[in-house]
Amino acid sequence: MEKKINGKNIGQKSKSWMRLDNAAKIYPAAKNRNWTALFRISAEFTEKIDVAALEEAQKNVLTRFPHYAQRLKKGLFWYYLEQNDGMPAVTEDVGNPCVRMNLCENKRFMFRVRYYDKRIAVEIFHVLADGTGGLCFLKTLAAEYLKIRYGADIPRGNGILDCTEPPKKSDIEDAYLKYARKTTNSRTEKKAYYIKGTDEPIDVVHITTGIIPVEDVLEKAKCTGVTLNEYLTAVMIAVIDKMQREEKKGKFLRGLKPIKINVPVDLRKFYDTNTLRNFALFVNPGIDPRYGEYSFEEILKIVHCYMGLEATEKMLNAKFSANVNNEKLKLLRITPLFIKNAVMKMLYIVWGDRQTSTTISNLGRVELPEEMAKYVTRMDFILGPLLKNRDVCAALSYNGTLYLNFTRTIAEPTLEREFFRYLVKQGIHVKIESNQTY
Amino acid sequence: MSYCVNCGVELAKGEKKCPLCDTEVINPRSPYESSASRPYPERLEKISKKIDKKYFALLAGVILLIPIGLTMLCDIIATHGITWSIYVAGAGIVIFVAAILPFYFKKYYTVRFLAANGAAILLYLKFIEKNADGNWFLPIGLPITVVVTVITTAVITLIKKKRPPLFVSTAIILLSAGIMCVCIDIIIKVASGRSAVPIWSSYVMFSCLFVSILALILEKRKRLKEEIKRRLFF
Repeated sequence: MEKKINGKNIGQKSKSWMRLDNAAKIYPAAKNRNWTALFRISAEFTEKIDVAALEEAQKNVLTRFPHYAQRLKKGLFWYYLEQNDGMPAVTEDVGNPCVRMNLCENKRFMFRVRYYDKRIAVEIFHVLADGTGGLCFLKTLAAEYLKIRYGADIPRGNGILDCTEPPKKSDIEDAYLKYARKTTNSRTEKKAYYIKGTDEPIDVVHITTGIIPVEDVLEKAKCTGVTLNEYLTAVMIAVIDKMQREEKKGKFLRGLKPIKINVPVDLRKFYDTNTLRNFALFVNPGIDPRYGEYSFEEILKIVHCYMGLEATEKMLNAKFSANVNNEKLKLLRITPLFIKNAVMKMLYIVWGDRQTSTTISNLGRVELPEEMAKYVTRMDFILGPLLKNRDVCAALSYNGTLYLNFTRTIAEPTLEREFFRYLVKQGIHVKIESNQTY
Repeated sequence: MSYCVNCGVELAKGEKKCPLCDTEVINPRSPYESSASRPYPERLEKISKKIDKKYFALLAGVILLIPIGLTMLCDIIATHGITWSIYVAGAGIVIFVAAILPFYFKKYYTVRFLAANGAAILLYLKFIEKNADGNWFLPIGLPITVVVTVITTAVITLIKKKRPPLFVSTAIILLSAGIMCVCIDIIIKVASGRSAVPIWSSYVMFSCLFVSILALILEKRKRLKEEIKRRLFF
């Protein structure tokens, strides 16, 4: 029994806590009043969303994903996550998704579940998980929702967890720490060209979605001997190259900056881990336009070879091991958080997303069991805007369709316009929808 | 289904213009349907543009500490002790109470903050007098500080509560400034043993009075007021 002294529960079980994983450490420091590193995954159903069922589903899912029921707290030396009791509100969706998350709102939860018409969306602060972890959360939430709403019996597995099972320790392990080795590789890179434009007010986020038959793009990619992701990356590079050359028309070639695309790579495929937290790294394929004009075939070859060299276990391990080893430095560990915060914030502003021109994050092909797929008509993946890269792209394919979402916080849609026009010129059918209002 | 004539992309039914190039969709066979379902609702999440006042206060406090610390360091290096730099520190405390302290609170409590400001100034003046062996605090320092604090508090409270029009507020401020000058003049004269007839302050008072009357007349003349507003807007 709990004793009470001065109205406080004494003997109450203390709240559990956990450390931030290696990749998550930068995000609390880098966030500011107007920006939080977010991403969003959504699923569209055949019928209108039943809010009560969704709330119930969220409750069930949180018992299986305890690392989502956390709040961000400041320690003397590091940020940490502390168990957050209660339940976040399921809210109606908004026209500006992924707009910054105020960590003091929503009962201090770092994710939000939103619904609109037939769609359920989760927006997650990167401190909690990466895209793959987030997708697992949404898939499980959708499965629970269907179970409650329609009594559907969804087989668990393949990224859909059983909410009746207790949470596993391996779900929340810091896989970076577990798999880091001693040998490291330098992470310094040249600053890249970034897309400039007219700043929009802080609460404006433009979303432009390209809906493309995945077969069309796959066929093009296969013809050129590259993967779908490499093909999209090459198109992005070609488009940004054109944009930079037009912007700097009449100027010397040496004024041109490298064009690099940030391509996140899921590290789970290299290691035996089921972690649902962050476990991804990035590679930055690109070209240096100062050396001359590149044909699309050349860019394809560069991207393909670069990915072959860099997106390997050895190279990626050396990269994330450098981060982990830095984290282990005694001097860094005993430096107070407010100093670390200031330094990390500065580093993120100076280097964070300045090394790349934009991001293209592809979650790949999302597969759902047949019992679930008959209810789910569409899925989307949206990246929150970045600090410097103001126009970013996220993709996933579901049910034979590729959904490419551009998120933009500048007024000019030049990147997506050129990107989709390029695909159309290649004979690929593109359907566009957006969040613009009339 | 409609296609953008510029971009060649198919546009979703709810799109009135191409999101990529802003070209309007003109398709007589499939006109724009405002009722077509949109992928996102119209409601936007608003971000409050409020400044984090406590953070600002903390930052301003730290910035204020820099010159204080530097002057103290110079003082210690030059005189091997803290002598003149204590005045800088005192002034720093007064600035803190006057300009930074209110940011720690949710609301600006006019009377309390201005009273605290007056008290900080009085303590600072008393400290200077004591340190410099003077005899001016009671006859000059105290009454001037009290008069200035009381009149400022009264004017701010009146304007905040009654919210008079711009020209009336201007008249109130100018008149109170004139009265303040007269009071200061009288206090200085009495302290120096002369007759309490205000001389220099009467020029200030009359000027303020003249401009105040002008402002009050302007407040009544709506068309003239409008004309001035139109020409002086920025």
